[in-house]
Amino acid sequence: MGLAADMLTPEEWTALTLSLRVAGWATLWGLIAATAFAWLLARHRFPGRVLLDALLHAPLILPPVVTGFALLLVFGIEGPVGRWLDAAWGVRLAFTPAGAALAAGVCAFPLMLRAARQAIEAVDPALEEAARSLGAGPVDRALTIVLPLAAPGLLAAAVVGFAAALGEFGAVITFAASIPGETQTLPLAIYAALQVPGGEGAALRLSAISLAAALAGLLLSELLLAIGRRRAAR
Amino acid sequence: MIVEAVRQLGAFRLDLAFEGPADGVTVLFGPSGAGKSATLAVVAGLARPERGRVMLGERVLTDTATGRFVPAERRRIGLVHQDARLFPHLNVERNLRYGLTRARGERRIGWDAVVEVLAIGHLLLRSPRDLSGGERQRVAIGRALLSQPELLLLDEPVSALDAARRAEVLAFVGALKARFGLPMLYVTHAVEEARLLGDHVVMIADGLVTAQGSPAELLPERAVTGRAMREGVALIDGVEVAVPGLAAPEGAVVRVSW
Repeated sequence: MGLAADMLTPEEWTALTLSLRVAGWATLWGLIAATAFAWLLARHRFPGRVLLDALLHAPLILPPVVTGFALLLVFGIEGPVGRWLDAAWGVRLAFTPAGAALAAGVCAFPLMLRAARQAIEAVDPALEEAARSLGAGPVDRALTIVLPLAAPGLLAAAVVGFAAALGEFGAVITFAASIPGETQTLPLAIYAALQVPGGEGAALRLSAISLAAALAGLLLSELLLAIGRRRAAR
Repeated sequence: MIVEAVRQLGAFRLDLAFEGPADGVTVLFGPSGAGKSATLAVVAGLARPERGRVMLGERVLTDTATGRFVPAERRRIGLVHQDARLFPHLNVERNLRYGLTRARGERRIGWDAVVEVLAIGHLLLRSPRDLSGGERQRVAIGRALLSQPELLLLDEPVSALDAARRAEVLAFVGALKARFGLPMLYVTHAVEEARLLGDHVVMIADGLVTAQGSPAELLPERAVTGRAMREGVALIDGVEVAVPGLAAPEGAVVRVSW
């Protein structure tokens, strides 16, 4: 910590910790939503399924700026959901760290959805059927059979989601702006540094930090996977 | 147990009705593709028939006339397939407890009795992947029993095992019958299993019931004389017939019973 803090200016340090928090929250809520929708799409047949599937993938094909703009229209101060959140709970998302996490999570969501769906589809439905005949209802089966068996794949989904959220630029700057200490995550800070004459050094350091953070996430997931495998082998 | 089911599955049509004794083993006997598994799915509540009724004692589990359909997880019907379907992330003990902790109502079938009858006490801490095929099936049967079912469905539980393991698991199924007095519906295409375990036999072919009755009536033992051709093949009435385990010298007179 001390070493990293010495190498970075307080502003850069803030950008790093903010980025980790934003990407962490984005991954958390994104993964929960992705897992729920992946389960729905993988295990159920219902009218409108193909449409829902396409809709959930929209952030993947839309320019991130458009996704951010769409979020502003819905969750912005004047948007229908945004106004309700403000009136009912006093919660504002636009131009806040929570909003940055929302925007980053929405953009990372389709990637997590795809990985989570693969993980859930790989769980043998016959095992769920067995759990059913043993008296387990749908939620019970999801929690005790599907989730534990899909866990390694869901962890992989989290890693992909974290990396994507950490690097999200367009949607975050559109929905949450680039407020230092509030919503200015690493990519936004890099961009801001490059706008200043002589800012290349700062941009280079921030880029190196981005790389290190992404690598650390990857290594952490590999470690968790190895622990999981060792536990499963016992 | 009363089962009536009409189900259209692509070109295949299931249209059958039978009654099984309230205790003892009812054998659903027929070649593969006859509709045995489709029937089991209806009984277990994993499939809804287009028309039909499933009654277990006084309980109506499916009745398309009234729209009643009890979901599989509330039927109290234990299910054992030819692949044991043990949960790979749980050890044997936790597999066994999975059904036990979710069992509703009175616990008639005790932990100790099941572990003893199926001889699985020494396996409790093992992972399913470290079990032999026969051990896996015994654990699967134990797991189904401990869920306190009112009916046990066995779908060709030994057909994936070799001859020695098959005899081992069949002996355990026979012991269950004596020990727990639980009604069972046993699906098989093997005559020996039907004779050995069945109290009542329902023969089905092409989705229809062709005969019902005792094993002695429907599956009398028959024997013919023929000549050994090569290992596992005999010539009977001019036809080459597969006789598993036949190892007589070529040309020898053999007596084949089934």
